[in-house]
Amino acid sequence: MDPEVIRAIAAAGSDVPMVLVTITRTWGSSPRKAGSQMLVFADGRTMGTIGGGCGEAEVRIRALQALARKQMEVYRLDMTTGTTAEEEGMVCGGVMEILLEPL
Amino acid sequence: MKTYRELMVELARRLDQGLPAAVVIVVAGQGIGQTYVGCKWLFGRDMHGKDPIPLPVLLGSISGEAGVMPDWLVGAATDAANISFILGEVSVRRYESPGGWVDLFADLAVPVPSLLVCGGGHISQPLVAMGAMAGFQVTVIDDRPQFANRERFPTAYRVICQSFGPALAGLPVNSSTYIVVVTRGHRYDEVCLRAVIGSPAAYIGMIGSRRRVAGVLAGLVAEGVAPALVERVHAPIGLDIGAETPGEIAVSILAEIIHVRHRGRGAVMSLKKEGGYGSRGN
Repeated sequence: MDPEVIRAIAAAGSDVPMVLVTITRTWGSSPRKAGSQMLVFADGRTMGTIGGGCGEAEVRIRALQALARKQMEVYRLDMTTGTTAEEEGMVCGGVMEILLEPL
Repeated sequence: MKTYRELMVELARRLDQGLPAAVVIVVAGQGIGQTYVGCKWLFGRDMHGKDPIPLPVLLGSISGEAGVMPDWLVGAATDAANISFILGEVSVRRYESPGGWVDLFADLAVPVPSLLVCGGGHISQPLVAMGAMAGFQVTVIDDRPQFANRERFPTAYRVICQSFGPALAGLPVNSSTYIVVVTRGHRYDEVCLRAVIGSPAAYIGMIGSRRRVAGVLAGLVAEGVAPALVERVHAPIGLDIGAETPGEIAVSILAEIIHVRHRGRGAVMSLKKEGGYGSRGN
């Protein structure tokens, strides 16, 4: 858990739509550990980090989609294969499982 | 039943108080388990009577679309929280049930205990170093620049050079804060005690001879501080291990703090018969 992220949720008004992003587990080398958290707001702003870079950018888009559907999602960010990983040269090369919770 | 936001407000309040918490969420399920994806629980961790190990305490839950949560599921969530608390680990665990399974994600918030040392003298130096080694985030306060500086306390989290009263007023004190009052004079000890006596600190200890300590505490009661609050001050400070040098006294103080923190018995591990220690070693 990230106490700063939790405090930000508690301080925000109940009418502020946002998505709580949490790493639930990782395989191989990943930038941050399970329990790392980030908030994604409806306008795309973020608070906290799950590792930065293009992996986080991908998660941010995914989070906004979850917010539009108002539905929780568990999502695997694969940094080992695929065009994004190769083209962008992601350095970590692991897999992160991420929980997206619209609030 | 609460909303998720209400649960988060409760969680934030606990974090501010320095209390541990765990959030357990059903992140996947199969068969009957699928019904419960999205269910969440907030757990605290408290002592139960004389049980030496703290157990998870349910503070709130969200069942979402599932409606009523069955006992096996609440039991599994409690188990997941307990394992995470014990191992200090964020994890996903699978629990089988008749007709399916659920994956439970247990996330953890464990407060780092903080040690507040009032006074930067000869006992504070080893105490701060040992406190940091024992996993405390240590803050030292002294109003004299030659005593409150980084060179004297390289492992401290924070060194504050300010008068004791205002410095203490500006610091957060919660139930994972341990306070040691070891200033250069009882006038300052009184100032420090007055500032923290009503706080929710887990431990307040003050150095001094029995006579000096009794005088300071009686003074506080005369000022109108509730006797129950004064009684909670550990004074004279430390465990009785015959400590004499600053280093030994620091061990005695830190031993008492760890004893309070983990509810130890404070007895000698190997001492099986009473009076086993007949003579003093060198």
